[in-house]
Formats: sequence, C-alpha cells, structure tokens
Amino acid sequence: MIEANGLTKYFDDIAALKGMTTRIPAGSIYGLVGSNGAGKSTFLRLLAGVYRPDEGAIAVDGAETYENPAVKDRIFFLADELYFFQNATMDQMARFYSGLYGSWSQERYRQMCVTFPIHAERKINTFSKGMQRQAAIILALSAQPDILLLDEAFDGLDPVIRGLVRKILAEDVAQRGATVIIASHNLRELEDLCDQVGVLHGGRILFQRDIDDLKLGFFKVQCAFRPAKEREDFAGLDLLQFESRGSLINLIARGAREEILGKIEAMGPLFVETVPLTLEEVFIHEMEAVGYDYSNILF
Amino acid sequence: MTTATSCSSSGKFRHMVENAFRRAAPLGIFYGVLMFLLFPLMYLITLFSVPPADYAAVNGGFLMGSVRFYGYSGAYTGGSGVLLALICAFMPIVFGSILFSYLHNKRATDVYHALPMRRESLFAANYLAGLTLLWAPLVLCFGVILMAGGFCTAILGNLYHPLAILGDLAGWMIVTAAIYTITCAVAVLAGNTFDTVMFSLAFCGMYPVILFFAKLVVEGELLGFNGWNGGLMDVGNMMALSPFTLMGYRLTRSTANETNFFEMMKVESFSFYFWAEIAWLLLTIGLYFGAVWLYKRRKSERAGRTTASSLLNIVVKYVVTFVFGVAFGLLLRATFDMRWMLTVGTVIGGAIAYTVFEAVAARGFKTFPRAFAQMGISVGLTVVFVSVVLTGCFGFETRVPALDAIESVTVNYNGRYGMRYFYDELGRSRYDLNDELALARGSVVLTSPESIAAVRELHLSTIDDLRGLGDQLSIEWERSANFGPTITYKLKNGRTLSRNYRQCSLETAQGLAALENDEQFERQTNPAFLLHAGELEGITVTNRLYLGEYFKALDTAGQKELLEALQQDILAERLEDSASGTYEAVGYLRLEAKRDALQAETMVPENTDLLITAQYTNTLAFLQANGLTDRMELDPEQITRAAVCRYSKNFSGVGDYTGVYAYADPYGGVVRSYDIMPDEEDSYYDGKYRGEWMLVTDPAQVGALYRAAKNIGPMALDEEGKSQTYQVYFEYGDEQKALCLIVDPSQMPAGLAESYEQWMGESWDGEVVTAQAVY
Repeated sequence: MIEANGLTKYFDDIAALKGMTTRIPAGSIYGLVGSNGAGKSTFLRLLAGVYRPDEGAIAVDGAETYENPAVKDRIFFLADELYFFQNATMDQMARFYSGLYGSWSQERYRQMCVTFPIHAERKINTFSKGMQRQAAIILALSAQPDILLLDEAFDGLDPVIRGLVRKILAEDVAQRGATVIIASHNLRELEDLCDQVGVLHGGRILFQRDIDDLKLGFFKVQCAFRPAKEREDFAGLDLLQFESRGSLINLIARGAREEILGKIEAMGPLFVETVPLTLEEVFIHEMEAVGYDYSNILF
Repeated sequence: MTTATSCSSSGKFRHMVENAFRRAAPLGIFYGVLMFLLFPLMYLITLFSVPPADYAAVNGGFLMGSVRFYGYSGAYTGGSGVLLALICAFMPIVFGSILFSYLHNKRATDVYHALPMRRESLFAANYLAGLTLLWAPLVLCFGVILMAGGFCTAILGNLYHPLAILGDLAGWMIVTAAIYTITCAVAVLAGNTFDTVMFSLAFCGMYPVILFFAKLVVEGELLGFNGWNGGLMDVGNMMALSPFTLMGYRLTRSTANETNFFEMMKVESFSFYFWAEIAWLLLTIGLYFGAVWLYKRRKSERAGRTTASSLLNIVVKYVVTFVFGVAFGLLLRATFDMRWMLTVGTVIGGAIAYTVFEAVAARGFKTFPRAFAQMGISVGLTVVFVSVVLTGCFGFETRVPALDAIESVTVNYNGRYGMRYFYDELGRSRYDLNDELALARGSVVLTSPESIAAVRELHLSTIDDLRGLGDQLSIEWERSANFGPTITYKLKNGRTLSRNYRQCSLETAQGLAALENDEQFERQTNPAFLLHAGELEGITVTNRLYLGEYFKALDTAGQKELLEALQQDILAERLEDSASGTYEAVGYLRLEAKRDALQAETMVPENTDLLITAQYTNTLAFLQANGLTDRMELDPEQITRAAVCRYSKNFSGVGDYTGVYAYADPYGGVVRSYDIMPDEEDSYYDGKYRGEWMLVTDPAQVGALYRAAKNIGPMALDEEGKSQTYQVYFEYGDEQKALCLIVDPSQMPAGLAESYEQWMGESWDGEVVTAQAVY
C-alpha cells in the first residue's frame, strides 16, 4: 500500500503538490493523469525518494521512502527523460543496476533482451529514441521491483512494443503482485491498462476511481424531442455538457445509465440512446468542471 | 574516509565505487600518463644525464655540477616541480566536477537519487573513487622516484632521502585531497558543472588573494602601521592558505641539502608550511563531513540550475568585489598619486567586478536591477574597509601614549655608528637558519625622560607631517626614505605600542639630536662603550681626510686606558658643540676589534671610526703619549684641488648622513678622485654619487673652502625642509681618494656659492639660504 498524506512540494515559491493525500493499493496498475504541471512527475519523484517532501509524507507499507534504501530497493523509477552513462551499452547499464537492486534478475534481463528487438552490446547513445525507451524498460523490468514508477513510459514506443510492454506489466502484476504507477497524458494507453486512475489537479488528487467505475459513471446521450427541449428541461440530470440542434440534443450526464435513461424517457423523446465515454472524455469533462482549459491537453 | 560501515550495504557501496571508478578511469589514465611524463620521467632523464665525473660517489658524497634537483626531497627538476604543482592544482577540480556531475544533470539525478543507497554512501563511493584515481598516480610516480634514487645512490649521494620523498608525497596527497574535497563540497552546493569549476577555483585560491590585497591597503595606507612580517599575513606564508600554492611554494622554501627534518623545522617558513599541511589535512577531513552533511540536505531539484542566489555565490561575489575593487583602487592611487583615488577606484572596480561576476553567474543580466542592492552592500563593505584605513583606523594613526605612561622607548636611530652585530669566533656576522642576521641590533632602548620626550616629540611631529599632507601624501615621498622612524613604547601598564614610518621630514628627524647627549644612547651605540679592553687588536689613526692610516697594536692595559679616556670624552661631548664647530676636528681613531676575542654579548657597530676633536682631551693625551697625534696632522698646503656638490633631491650625500646631522663618515664617505673630478673637465657626473660636482682649482678658493669645511655639522635646510649643505672633496697630495667634508651654506667662501649657482644653471631647482643651526 502506498500512502501519501498531506504531501506538499514547492519549487521556489511554486507549489507542485499541495497537501496531496491518496492511497494506492498494492498489486494494481495505477494511472496518474493530470494537466501539464499538475504534479504527476513530482509525485513519482517523491515516491521514488528523489525529492524530499516539504510537508506531509509518502510511505510504502508504512515506511517513508526518502533516504530509506530498504524501501527504495523495492521501487524502480523510470523517468520521462532517460539517462544512461556516456557510451554505455545495455549490458553495462545492466551490470550497474544489478549490483544495486536486490531483486535484479539477470535471467529475466537476458530473456527481455531476446523478447525485445534490441542489441544489448551496442552503445545506447546509438539507439533511436524508441529503442532507448525500450532499453530503459528492459532494465526496469529486470530489476523486478515491487513498485514500478513509469513516467510517460510509452512515449516513443511503436504499437507492437507498447502491446508487449502492456502484456509484461500485466503479467508482473498478476504473477508477482507488483504495483505499477504510470503517469501519462496518453489516456487511451491507460484506459486499456490501468485498474485505477487518479486525476491530479492543482497539486491535489481531484478524484481517484476504478477505471470501470469512472467510465460507467458518465454517459453521452443522444436524443430528440418535438417540440425541442431546452437545457432547463433537463434540470433533473447532473449535466456536464448540453448541445441542441433543433430537435436533436447531445448531452453528457453524470450518473447511472438506468437512472439517466429513465429520466429522459419520462420526457417522451422521439428517440434516445446512450454511449459510454472514453477516459479522455471523462478526463476533459472533469477538468472542465474545475475550470481547466482542455485545449492544452495533448492526445 | 567513510567506508562500507556507513553504507546500507557494503556490496552496493563497493559496486558504486567500482562504477564511479570505471566512469572516471579514462581521465585517470590521462592524468597518470601526464604526471609520469612531466614528473618522474623528467627526474629519470636528469638523473641519467649526470656525467660520471659529477657522481656523488667520486665527489665525497655530493652530486657535483649545477644543481639539478630541487625541493626538500630533491625529487624535482627545474620545471617538474612547477608542472606537478599545476597538475595537482587543477586535476582534482576536474575529477570532482566529473564524478559529481550527476548532481547537475536532472536526468542523472533522477537515476542516482532513486537508487537504493543513502546519500552519504553515494557521496562516499564517488568521493573514494576520485581520491583513488588522484592518489594512485602520485604514489606510483613517487614510487618510481624512490626506487630510481635508491638504485642510483652512487650518483645522488647525499641528495637521496627516502623519508623526505615520502614526506613530499604526503604533502601532495594532502593538497590534492583538499582541492578535490573542496570541489566535491562545491559540487554539492552548486547547480551546474560550470559553477562548480568556477566556485572551486575561487574557494581554493581566494584566501591568499584576499589577505594580500588587505595587506597592501593596510601596510600602504595606514600611517605608522608596522606591517605584518610573520604569521598568516606574511606574503610567503599566505601561500599556505591555498592548496593551489601550498606545496608548490613549499618547494621554494627548502633545498635538498637541508634534510634533517628537525633542523628544518627551526626554519620558520619550513615549519609554517609543515603545520599548514597538517591544518589542511584536518580541514579536508572536516570538509568531507561538511560536504556529506550538505549533500544530505541538498535538494535534487537544484540540478541544472544556476547558482545565482546561493550562499556560495554571495560569498564569492563579495570576495570578487573586494579583491578587484581594492586592486583597481590601488591602481588609481598609484597612477594619480592621490589617496582619495583609492576610494574612487574601489567603488568603480568593485562595481565592475560585481556586475561581470553577477552576469556570468546568472548567465545574463536578468537578475538586474534587483542585484543592485547586493552590489551596493558588497561595494559598500569594501569601501568601508578602505575608508577605515584611510581615516586612521579608529585613531590608530594618532595614538601616542602620554609621557607619564611610558616606561621606555625603543627607536631605530643609531647615530653615526650604525647597526650593531654579533660575530662568531671566526669573525663572521652570525646568521640564523632563516638567513637573517642573528641578533643584529638597529635600535636603542631609552628610559630617560628627556630621551623619551624627544622620541615622543618626533613621533607627534611625524604624525602631523604625514597627516597634514592629507591627499597630497605622495607615494614617492613616503617611500624615498632616508630615515623612517620605528618607535616602540613600553608602557607602565605592561603593554607596548609600536609604530613604523617609512619617512619623516629632516626637520622632524633633527629632534633626535637630543638622544646623542644621552649616556644611555652612547652606551648602546658608541663603539668605545660597546668594545671592551682585551677585545681590540689595536687602533688605526688617520687625519681628518681619513688619510695617512697608521695602525698601532695595544695591549689590554693600553686598550683599557684608551677606552676609559674615550668614554670620558664622549660623555663630556655635547653634539651641539661638535656640530657648531666649537672644537676643531683632529682626525679619526678606529677601534680595531679582535673578532675572535669578542665576549659573548659584545656587539660591534658597522662603523668603529671615532671622530676625535679638540674636545677629546683625554684621548688626545693618550694619543700624544703614544706618539700618535703626529699621524693625525694634515698639511693644508698639499690640498691642490676641490670638488663641490650640494645636497639636492638627486643627491643626498656620500656616506655622511645620519638623518639628523651632517657627518663626514669614513664608513661610506671616502671618495675616489677619478669618480668625481677627472682631468680636463670642470665637472663630472657619476651615477654612483648622483650629483654634479663643481671643480675648484683656484688655490685661494681651495684654501677658503678647506677652512670652512667641517667633519660634523648641522644639516642646513631650506624652507621646504630640504638640505642645502655642501659636500666637498679635497685632493690631497698624491692621494687618489679622500673623505668628503661638509660645508654649511652660511660658511661657504664668498663668490663660491654664486659660482656654484651659476654653474649649475637651470639644472638647479633650489635656492641658497642661510643655514639654520638646529643645536
């Protein structure tokens, strides 16, 4: 169990995290989403023990991570910007990590080097961006950490490799009970991979839910009325969006599907149908609800 | 150093050390090869180029020929010591910057600080790897020299000292560790590698520079300040404050012939550097733990940032402002020769230095105009320092103890007999291990109220003279010293107060004439009191032109009789009588010390010629009884020609100047005729005597000049306090030399002074005035 209580981190006079409190259960894949500058990377660095919290605490199974080698031995942090020693090969990097992480598996490393299309004996600085990302992921997976922190981990990977990584991560969670935390803007990736998603905004967790609950808690409804209805006529629904074009109405509402449909059908529509929202749409609407301009968000 | 015991896991620590070692290994190889080529290889080449004829084995244990090896250990050739010092100064900074560069790279920091290691272990591992890479080549290179020297003792003989070589190795290890540790500590504080290098250079080298410029200002501008001649403020010892210069400078403090460590420790500069090495060793250990402490508190997010707002930056900025401000101030002070320009230069130089440094540290001018406030403070502090010195340092310049508070006073005035020295049994002046004259004495200690009052008056007048000049106090005037008083008061409360001036005016110095009548002064300066019966070979008598030397040996009884006679006459003599010409000069009597018979505490002045005047009745009676008065006689008819020269700003006389009165001093006043009056010319300029001499050949004028000439007299001063006294050389018979006598302007024969003026023409910038007798 990862617990953050009142976690606060300042950079000069700017607060990246402001009293963030969350609990992430072990043995799950947790997606951390948020707008630019929301504090996702900061949270991961605090959890990895790179940063020291200015206030509050972050702990794994009750033990704080900062300057705690025993806890950090269970955590591997893969940052968004990769670092390898100058002119190092994969094998040299593997030798470096192997002496530092207690659960490092050389066998798994060799296996990964076969699974991924990569030359372990070549210098990493000759690799493409995507291959460098693969190298970093191989090293991270070979360390076999209990907690794997991935910051924009799929950036630069081709679809085949993405699928491969997703599969390996899922196996790790299933077989070893590993916890994976992925911070990403690529919500489509998270949608297929994560068990739980937390949305960071303004230095705090805006909400955190199982991904299924999240997706099923919002519905896009298309319906038609004659005569046309106004927004006020749907006052009984928790509307996030409302658009009308003549008799055709598109709306997004929060709530259970049956409850929403029941209320609309009671108004005598010409037709009505519901479509579940993608994670991206949920994210955008939740962010709009707190006043964020989603045009900044990359997909 | 921290070892595996401080790590969470010794295996991880060892693994990290190995990793750091591998990362820096290419640099280590470069460093090792460079050191080998420039140090032991040079030693080997020099060693094997010694010709067999110069081998110590064939020269009684000493390597012959020009000195080929230097330093206490004799491990350095001409250039290798310098090159080794350069390598050992800069390579530790390179190692420290590279090994801790991960702190300055955000991506690398993410990797390193996420590793399951405590920060102190991480620091210790990288530190240890760097130190190993720094020390290993040093140990190997000194090992080569140790072995090569050991195999070649037939060549080196007494120049081979294994312990001294190991001692030097320890010294180099200490300085490299110190520089490296400073760099590591700076790397922890800095945000990027450029700043690490910049601040490491500053923190390793700034201390001597700060003290040097502070010393220049205080010693140059604080009137009366004695100066720092030892301890940390000594220019040489200051070098020990920087690990850059500690060992390099130590090499110049000793030679390979001085190998007994305990004997060498008696040499102040050597022992200072030894203790400096120990201090740096302790400081390095302290710095290591300081760096670890800082590292544990370092925020990882500092990686990649500039160090513009850190304490590190502020300290160096203030130092840079001080050093360049003061340096520019001193430059303007010297250029315009005005004291207030020191303040102006400090403001300008400090502001420029601050601006440039701020722009470099912040990579631009974005911190301006906010930085102006800091600039104001740093420049202001520097100006405060300079102003405190220029305004007399809180009354330091004007502090003179009250008469009734003084127990005794020491002043560096020695009258006409000069410095006194102790001699060894072979008659040589004694030198100590620091190459300083052992127990040489150039001052007198006086307790009589009259003498204390006279010295105190001199002190007060000197202060008035110098402070009265204000900004007109010229560097040239200050440094063209003829007599610079050094006065030390011993106060009744047990304290001392000491002041030193590079110059005082002639008028002021003449106040010391009163000391010449003090028995205490005579007993401390006059050879007739300092030498004892039994310590003389005999005496040499000459006439008043210091010609016609005649030596007479004296037995102890004769010596005793002579010295008693002289002492009676000297105590009866009043300087004002001698100087005013009341008593005619008869000749000179030189006490010939028998150096190997000198008693343990006997001091011998550099001048043992006593001027015998008609007032010395007891002495003349002794000379008469021994048939020596005839030897002092002089026939004025044999004086054929004379040469005249007046004191001027370019000519302060030939060996006849006590700073208080004019004195024809045989110690330095005998002039060869061809130096000043060659045939066929009526004048001659010789740089040696720095004066233009007017030749006088008219017998009447020569005779008149001789009658006016004195062997002792007052300095005649003009309104500006400059001397106007003439010095006259008389050609006597066939003699090619003679003592220059003095002629007061008021006694100059009619027409000769005008002739001199006319002859000097435009080259003369003074005027003839009537001498003012000061006694």
